[in-house]
Amino acid sequence: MSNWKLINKTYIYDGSFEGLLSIVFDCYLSKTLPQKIVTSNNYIDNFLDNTTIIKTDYEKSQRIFDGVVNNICKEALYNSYYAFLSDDKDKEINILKYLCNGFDIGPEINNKITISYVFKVINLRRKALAECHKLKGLLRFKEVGDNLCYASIHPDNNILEPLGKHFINRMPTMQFIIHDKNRDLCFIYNGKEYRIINSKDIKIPSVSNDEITYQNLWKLFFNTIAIKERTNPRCQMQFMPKKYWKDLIEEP
Amino acid sequence: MSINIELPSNDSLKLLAPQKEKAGILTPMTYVSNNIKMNKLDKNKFKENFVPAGQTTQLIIGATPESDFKILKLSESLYNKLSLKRVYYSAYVSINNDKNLPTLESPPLLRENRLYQADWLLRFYGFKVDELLDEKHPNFNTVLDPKCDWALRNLDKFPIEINTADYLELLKIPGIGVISAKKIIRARRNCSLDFESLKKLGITLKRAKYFITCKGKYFEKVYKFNENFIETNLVYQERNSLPNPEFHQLSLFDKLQPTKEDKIKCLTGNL
Repeated sequence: MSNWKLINKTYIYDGSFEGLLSIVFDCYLSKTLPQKIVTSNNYIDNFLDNTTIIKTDYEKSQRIFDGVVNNICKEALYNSYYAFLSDDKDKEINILKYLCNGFDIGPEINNKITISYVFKVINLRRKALAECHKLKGLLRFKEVGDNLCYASIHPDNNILEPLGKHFINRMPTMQFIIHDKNRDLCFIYNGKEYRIINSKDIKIPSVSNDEITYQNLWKLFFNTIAIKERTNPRCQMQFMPKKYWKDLIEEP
Repeated sequence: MSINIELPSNDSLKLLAPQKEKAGILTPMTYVSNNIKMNKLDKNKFKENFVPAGQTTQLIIGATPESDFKILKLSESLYNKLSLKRVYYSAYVSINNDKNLPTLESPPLLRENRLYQADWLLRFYGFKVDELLDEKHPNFNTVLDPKCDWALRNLDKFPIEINTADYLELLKIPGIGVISAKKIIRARRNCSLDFESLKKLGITLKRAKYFITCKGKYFEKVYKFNENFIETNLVYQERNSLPNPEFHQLSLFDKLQPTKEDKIKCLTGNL
């Protein structure tokens, strides 16, 4: 990858993982690296930028997808996917370099953590999954109608999919909505399949009558079970950072 | 499966929990651990797992006068002989005023924390209790964590060279844990590491910097390699995370009230 040409271009894509993989395909074919990669809805037109819009091509992205699994390793695919979900403005260019170099040297790429972009990709994955793990415990469902649950979250990273899949495994027969209020996205599961859609397209029903009673019971339980002598706010804040508290039912 | 020992010696059991007996606790624990071993050896014979999550126990800290050394000795033998998954330590919270119970103002949470730190050292870092504590020093240092404390007492084993030390040696460096040690081993296959690349790997050097060398060099701010220098710096770093004794600002004029004469002097300007 060392002899690749750095070109003064800004690539714009639609913000999907397939779109990013299409860029990887084009770059790998032409042996060039762009200056910047941005999503179309985040891009503010700049007169100095030499922009190119890359269309999402599912055939290209599928080829890269299979290529990563066969020629690098499955872990590289997971690394790049979860890094892609994270909230970092340079993630695309790092993933691009990571995958292109990965095609050159194979699975050994994951051991080269002293290369800055490899380290970044692995670290972004860790950050995204760590937040996902925290929210698995901090998510609070509310009953909003017959057999339908609703929960709102304010995550930094776009972790709706791994989070929702976790809850599908936990309660496969329940129907639920997880609402990412920072991105206005909803993860909807109807008991059989799931979809991620824009939250403007759906109307969120109001909570059921029983819900308030159960919320009060939960608060009572929360306060009763606490051991006053052992309160340790610093430790508590490490496990449940304050930024997630607004979606909780109890008041820690 | 959890069979709680609660109190770490026979005398304490007699004093505070006369209905419990050492034999009465250890017999079922041995039974469970033997059965787990048997079950693992003969997986075909037993269709169902026996206690698949393993066995744990709990000890209460601070209700009886046992030292940290004695408590850790007990947990070490529990880990080695009965292959327990975990021993939980629970600081004693005084609820009622029995004459046999001590009256503590607050539960010994720091001591509980130190015991957990040492417990991790036993299970994941290859330490032995006799290295951490002995009869002369039966309790942990309140200011420094067990690993730093051990390292300061064994400075002859340091500094450790990051690029050549093996996994178990890396684990003995204060501030470097299982994850960091594995990261170092993974990264140095490709190139030798210096302090800059350690930072890039996300390894915290806060404590580790005093005990390591990279390519034969000390960390630039570590001027001296002796116990005094390192200890002073470590204690200084830890000052925020420890419960402080109450200090107050000294004042020159605390108890000096202006007298009538002073006031007159002020008015006339003959100070």
